[in-house]
Amino acid sequence: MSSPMTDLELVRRYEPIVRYTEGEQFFPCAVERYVEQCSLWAHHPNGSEQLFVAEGKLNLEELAKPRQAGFGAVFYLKFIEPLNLAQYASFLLNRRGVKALQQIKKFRAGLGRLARVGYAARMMDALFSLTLLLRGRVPGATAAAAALTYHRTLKKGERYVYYARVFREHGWIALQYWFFYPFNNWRSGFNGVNDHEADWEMVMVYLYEKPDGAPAPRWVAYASHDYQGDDLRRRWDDRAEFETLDGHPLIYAAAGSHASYFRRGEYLTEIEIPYLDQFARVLDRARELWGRFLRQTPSDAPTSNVIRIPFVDYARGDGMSIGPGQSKTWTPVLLDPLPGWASQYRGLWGLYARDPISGENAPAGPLYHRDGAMRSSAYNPFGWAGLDKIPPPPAEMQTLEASRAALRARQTELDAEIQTRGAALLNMGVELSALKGNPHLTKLSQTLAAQTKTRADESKALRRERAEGRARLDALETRIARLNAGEDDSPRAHIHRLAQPASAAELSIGRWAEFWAATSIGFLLVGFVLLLVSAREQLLIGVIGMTTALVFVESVFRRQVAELINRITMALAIVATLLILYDFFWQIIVGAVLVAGLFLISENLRELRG
Amino acid sequence: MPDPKPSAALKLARPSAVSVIAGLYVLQCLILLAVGAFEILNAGILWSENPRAFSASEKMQAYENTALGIAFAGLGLLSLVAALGLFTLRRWAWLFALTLEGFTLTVGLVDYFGGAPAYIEMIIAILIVVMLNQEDVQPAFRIQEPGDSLPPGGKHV
Repeated sequence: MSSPMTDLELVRRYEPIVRYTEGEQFFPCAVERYVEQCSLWAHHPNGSEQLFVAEGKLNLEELAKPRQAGFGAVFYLKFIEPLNLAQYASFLLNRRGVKALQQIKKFRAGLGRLARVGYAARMMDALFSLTLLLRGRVPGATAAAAALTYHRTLKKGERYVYYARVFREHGWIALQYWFFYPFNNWRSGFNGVNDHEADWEMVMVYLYEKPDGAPAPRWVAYASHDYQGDDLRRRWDDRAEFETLDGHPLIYAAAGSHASYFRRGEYLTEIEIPYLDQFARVLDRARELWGRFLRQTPSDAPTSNVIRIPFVDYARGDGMSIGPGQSKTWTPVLLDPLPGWASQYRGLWGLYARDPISGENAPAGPLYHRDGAMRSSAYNPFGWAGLDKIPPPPAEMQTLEASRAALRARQTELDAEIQTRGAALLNMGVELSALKGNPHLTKLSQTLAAQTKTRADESKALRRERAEGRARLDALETRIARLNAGEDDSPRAHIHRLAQPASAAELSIGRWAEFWAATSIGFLLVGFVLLLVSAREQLLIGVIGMTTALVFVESVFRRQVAELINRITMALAIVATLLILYDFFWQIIVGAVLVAGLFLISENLRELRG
Repeated sequence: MPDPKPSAALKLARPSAVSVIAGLYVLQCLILLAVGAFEILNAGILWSENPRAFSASEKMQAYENTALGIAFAGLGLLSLVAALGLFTLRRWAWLFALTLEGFTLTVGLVDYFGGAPAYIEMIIAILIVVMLNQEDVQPAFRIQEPGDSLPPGGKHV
């Protein structure tokens, strides 16, 4: 029997290899260096900001100290101080130099995200971009300043850090790896959704102990905004969906957002617009009913897609790589016992940008959400990835056999109970028959009838339980036989929705299509303004004409002319239907009632004829 | 050896809705050809008189009748082409029929808002559009297989 590995040995044995996209500027670092460059603040509901600890005086111990503030207050760190114009100009001038120093190659987006989605989603994107002017956001030069500060920190000593925790439960061992990035520059660096100071990313490796005591990896799960539960998990032996290198899991980290992916590629992520999702659901439901009622061909994309904003997460894996056997290696930190900075500080780890939809606000620490509530990955690390209902492989047979034995025992009990109760029920039935015809025994007869009914219901419930028990036993037997034969489930049997990178065909839209996608909505708005200024009386026709032209050109680029004609014709048919319904409402009602009446008469007459 | 009964195989694969639409197109074709012939006949009667004696409005009427007759006859022939294409399940026929109905509905709506609604044509066009989008119709023309749709951002497994 091999000697048990310590937690740190386990963590090191399965530490991931993270592959970044070319152009990535921020990598996992130590929290103490970051915190030492921050100041600690509180934002109060009345809009005032209160400085608690100034820059240069903050460290991890200071951060963990308990602090009081009123309800609604938000504690946050400030990593980058706002820049004045001269500093911003200096940053812009030095940016190229910084990249050269960091040996960062220029990021090339390739096929733009807007070319991958429809015109409606593009219109929503334009509106979303405009909202950035109104809602709170991380100032423009902050990403550049953060890159410079991070670069200075790296120069003092290059260290790539992860923070790990180990959990044990029901024969499972969960290794939780946290990566802290000083900045998320997805928006400013890679045309993504947001920028924010600080970024925490997490992955889990699930092991079980083999009969000889040696640990064996079975599952991995990477945190993701778009997926949850079972969909987060991949089986260790699922080579098509998950890669390992020398026994270490491979993570493809997305550029700027640092989101973790199992496979390299470019992922279209869609961000729901708050408050509009209800509207989208109503529309989707109406479309569903229309389709079901008239047996129409289902549409490819739900309406909710239209009111989501598309963004691309570039997880190409062609940049720097950190991990065992790579050019850069990890410095592990085991969080055992849990330090105060992780457990006590519930505030944000970077700037509170006052963004009401939170995208630009910094995240909280590894244990908490932005509102201070605990993350489910912290208090339920197995259930977080849907593993709380699955026993480790060696325990599965034992669990199955125990379940089978318990079920068999219960079936035996049920057989006896049904026999006894059935006999009693027969006696009651016989007695009830004997009481009939005796008026002086009416009350007794009624009581006995009620008792008989209760007993009959109980007997029926027991028989149902026995029948269900038989079916469950059959299922258990089949499962045990399969396991004994060495059959395993499909590694993807648990997945409902699978993240898929864009295919080569999806990325093969031409340059003109990309140019069109990037400029069409802007041209439409300019055309609208020109019409408004120069030909206001033709505004409606002009807008319809421009929109039709836009939609048609779009469909030509996407080879979707047939679908476009179908949609337009369908829209015309719906308008015509509504007009006819409006004009002939009462006639239609009367006609429908007449048809229903004739149908009923015909059905009843057919019944009479036998 | 060629299939002695090619139509039998086609008949098996043709949904009943397609036969109904094809039938409607044949009916539409006959009506349009009849209307077209009527218009051309009217114009012919006018032209057979002394055209030099026509007033400007009479000339315009004659031109209008001729143009309408040709247009209706043309549409009638197009309807026949659509009916034949649909009946033999040609892939182009589905889009062709849909385009024709889009055109008919556009004209119908323009007429409606112009104060001269053509309800019968609109109702026939609506029925055809709905039937062309039936679950079993599109696959018959190899336009879209049922269950092709995917959830956003991923694929079903």
